[in-house]
Amino acid sequence: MNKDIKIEINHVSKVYDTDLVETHALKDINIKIYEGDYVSISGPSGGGKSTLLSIIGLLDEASGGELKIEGKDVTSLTQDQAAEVRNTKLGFIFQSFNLIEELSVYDNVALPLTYRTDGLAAEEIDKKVKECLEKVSLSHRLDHFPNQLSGGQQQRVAIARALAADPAILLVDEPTGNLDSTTGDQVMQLLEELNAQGTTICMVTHDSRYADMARTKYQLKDGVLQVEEEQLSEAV
Amino acid sequence: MKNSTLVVKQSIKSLSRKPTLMFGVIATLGLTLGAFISVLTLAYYMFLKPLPYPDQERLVTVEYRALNAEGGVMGNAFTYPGAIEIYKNNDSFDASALMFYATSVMTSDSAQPTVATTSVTPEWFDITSAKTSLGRVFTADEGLNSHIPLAVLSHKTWQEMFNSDEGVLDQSVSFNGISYKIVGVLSPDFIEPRIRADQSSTSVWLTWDQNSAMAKETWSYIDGGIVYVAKVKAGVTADIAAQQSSPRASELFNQNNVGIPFFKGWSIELIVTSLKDKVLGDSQKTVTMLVLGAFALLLIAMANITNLFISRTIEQHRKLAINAALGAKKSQLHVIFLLEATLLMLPAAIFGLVIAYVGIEIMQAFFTDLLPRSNELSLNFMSVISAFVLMVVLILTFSRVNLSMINYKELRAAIQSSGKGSGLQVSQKTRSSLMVAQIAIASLIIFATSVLFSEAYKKVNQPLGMKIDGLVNVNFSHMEKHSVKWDEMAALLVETKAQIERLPQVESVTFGESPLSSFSMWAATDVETNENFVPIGKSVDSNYFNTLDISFIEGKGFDRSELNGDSNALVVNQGFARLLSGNDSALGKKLLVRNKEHVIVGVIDNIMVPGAENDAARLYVPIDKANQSMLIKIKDNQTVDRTDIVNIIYGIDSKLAVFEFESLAQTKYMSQFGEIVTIISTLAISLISTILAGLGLYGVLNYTTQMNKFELGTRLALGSKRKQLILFVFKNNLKSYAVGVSIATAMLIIAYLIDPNLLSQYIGFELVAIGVYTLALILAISWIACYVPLRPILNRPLVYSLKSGD
Ligand SMILES: Nc1ncnc2c1ncn2[C@@H]1O[C@H](COP(=O)(O)OP(=O)(O)OP(=O)(O)O)[C@@H](O)[C@H]1O
Ligand SMILES: [Mg+2]
Repeated sequence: MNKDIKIEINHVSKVYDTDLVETHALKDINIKIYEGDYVSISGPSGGGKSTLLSIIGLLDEASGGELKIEGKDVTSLTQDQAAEVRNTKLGFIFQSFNLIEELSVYDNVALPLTYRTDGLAAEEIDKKVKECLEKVSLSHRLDHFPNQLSGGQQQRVAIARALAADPAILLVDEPTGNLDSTTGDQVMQLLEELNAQGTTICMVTHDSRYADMARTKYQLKDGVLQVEEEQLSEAV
Repeated sequence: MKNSTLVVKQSIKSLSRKPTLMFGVIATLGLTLGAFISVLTLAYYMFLKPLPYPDQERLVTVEYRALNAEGGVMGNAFTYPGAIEIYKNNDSFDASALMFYATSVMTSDSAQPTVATTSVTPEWFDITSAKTSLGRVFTADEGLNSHIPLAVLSHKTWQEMFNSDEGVLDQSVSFNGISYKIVGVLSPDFIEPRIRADQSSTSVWLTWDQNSAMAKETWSYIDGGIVYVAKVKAGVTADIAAQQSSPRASELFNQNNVGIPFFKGWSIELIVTSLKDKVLGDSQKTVTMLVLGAFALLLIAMANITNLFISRTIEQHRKLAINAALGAKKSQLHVIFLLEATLLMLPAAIFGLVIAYVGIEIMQAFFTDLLPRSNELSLNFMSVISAFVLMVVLILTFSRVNLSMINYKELRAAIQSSGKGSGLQVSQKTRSSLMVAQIAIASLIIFATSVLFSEAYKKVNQPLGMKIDGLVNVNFSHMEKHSVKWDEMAALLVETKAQIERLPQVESVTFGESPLSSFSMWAATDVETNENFVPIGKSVDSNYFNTLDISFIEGKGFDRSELNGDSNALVVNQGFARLLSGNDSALGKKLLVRNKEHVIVGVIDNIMVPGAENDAARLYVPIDKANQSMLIKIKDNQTVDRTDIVNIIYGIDSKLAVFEFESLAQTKYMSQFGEIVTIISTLAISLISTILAGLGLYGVLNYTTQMNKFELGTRLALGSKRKQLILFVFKNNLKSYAVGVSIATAMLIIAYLIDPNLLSQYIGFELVAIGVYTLALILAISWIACYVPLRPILNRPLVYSLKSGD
């Protein structure tokens, strides 16, 4: 593969120091995620999946190691620098959608764009928002509020919101966890389509069916990352 | 509920798991309730409780006001014969009592203490129905012109100065060289009406005839010591009494002053005021302010606590939902709320009563001079009743608020949902109104207290136009005051002054009264224009102005050679110079003063005397060899005390006594005590309301922030900067701020429309500045209340805010 490296993680570890015990949630993790890749991370509960995704998403700090996004070292940023990286380079899709109740579908999608430091013009925001909602087939729900939407629709709004800033990568944590299986399948299909159009995705799931939809599959167990067997053999 | 003790036990247990909540509620409410109950008790005495004297509604004071031909007020005190005439002959009163207030040196006591004495005619004791614990009061034949000197001691004086000696009735006390036989001791229950704001409680009551009023025969001298108290005849009002008696008083005044051009066209008006109004003075306004202030604090506290209750109920939402699902009826939930509220309010009310008791003790210990009738004050039945009523109101309010939050039907359904039910929508509204209320009340309190504070602060810090540091005023008296010749007395005073000057601590001494003590009124006539003036004046030494660092605008002070009683030199202040010659020089102007032509030789700057107009017309004449009053300038870091002076005069003449010894700084402090108390109390109230409102806003915002933690975290995850998030939260609450502040402004405007006098004396640039200050302060509090709860979200890794659950 001769593509750009979107995310590079070297020797990342995470230790939670609680009163009683030290939990080594991540141990010496190394990953490279290339442009256009579709990465899944699965594994048993408590394996460290969410922890890893939080660190990649700059929502949490690693205890050691190095993290690069599009070649830029982001291991130790100030909070506002990290906010800017999250705003422009990262798109988040959460298990519980995390839409803002008081904002309409349109405004939810526009929200990250309003945080941009380069200050987009209103028309530009409008264009982007509509484009992204088009991608998730929700153009007809612009003025609805989250509580007027089904769970699947809400998650699609969240996906549109994540896409709005043209991120380097979509970070997805259990996107179907709060959805029934049919709706979940639809959301997964949407992600697959987006990937086909070139969006880089890193997804955490413990559902092996969905994990199998990814091109690159990792297993995270007791904080240790393993590439899945079949893929290894494929690569050989 | 069958097992009610179980419910009580459960409630106690669940509350005791929240000690901060419990402590917070009891402390906040206890303090504010206590403050409110104590001022309410005070207000009860002021507005409702009758004075503790028989027929109190018929008791009045009579004042004697002299008006010049133009109707200008020239004096506000009785002439001695004028008072006697009305006392002997009037149609309006069932009973009259003459009183003469004085401070006198008790020479029968070796410590020579200065005590408050009041000379009275016997009716005084009937009017106040004074009872004795020992002996008797004066009898009817011991009144005017009986000439037998007798004394009645106050209970406190008997205890403190006579060691509660039962044999006191065989003893005498001496004042001014007169020995008074003690005939009685008043009962400890006796409450003396404080007719004058600056009057200390009487220690010894003396028979009238020996009073130390001057010029007992002249109709041209008024004496501020004379007070006239009367009981009007049934059916006669104060106004009628004044109308009935004034013409004769005027007639007598004019008959007896005929031929004195100065008094031409003058008239006398008798001012008859109900004793209650007189005692209360203008403090009704102060007390109204106090009641409103304490009430506002209580309201802020209530808003705070309502918020705490709401948070607690939401916290218990799940528990209540389970209760409801298990079949608890709505009325049973109400019982739980009532019980919890009672468990908190009962100790708060009891604590409040303790605070009120302490508050009343404080008022009695420190503020008797400021708050009329505080000498009668005690925590009474009314206080307990009001505490109880307030407690019930609070209990009902809080349990009502709680109940209104709960939608019982939804509660039963809520067990399945994860919490963010519609019950919260209601509470968001309630919360916003709580914030609005707190902002409105706090703005009002802070604004009002700041206005009062700045007024008082300005008064206290206004430059005096003179230096009083290191100056002590000493007054001397002679035990045979009435028989000693002035030349003799002057020689003693000159010797005393010389010896004080020799004390190593003393820098200089000048004859002359304290510039802060009251000036006497003088009659002065412009020789050229024949215009009459009533300036206030003092006799002073050649180095008096120098010692006080009062500067001359023109001319000079007196020469040593002029201090002999026949000088005609006169110094006036700028205020008087303006009256006499406008903007022209007043030097050389001739004035008829004390029947002698005087010439103005100097004009000094106006001095600021607390309680007096700054440009009051003042004049100064040279002393005649000496003066009974001296100002001692003490060297830096040195002290002189009363005994130093007493030792000196013992060596000179044992008949001399130190009548008064007080530093001018102390005099100033005492005369501005009211302002100082205002400064302290407005600062305290403003501080307390700032803290309470800050805590209240914090409470509300902390809760909403917790509730919205998820959303705020999401915003941060999507790239919001710290500042953007803080601003976002702040803007969200700006509406409450705007509404609250607008309500406060509207209330001020309404108050102004209802009673323009309330604010008009303040209106101006300063009011605007204070308004801006208030708005800024409240804005700052709101900002802090927004920011502080956000800090954990901003400072911890974002992943914690995004986790559901805690
Ligand atoms: N704040 C924390 N403090 C202490 N330990 C933590 C904390 N967060 C996570 N852990 C621990 O780190 C380990 C990894 O947790 P993580 O949430 O990443 O697991 P996961 O793979 O996402 O599990 P699941 O599939 O259940 O979501 C777990 O053992 C967990 O107990
Ligand atoms: Mg997880």
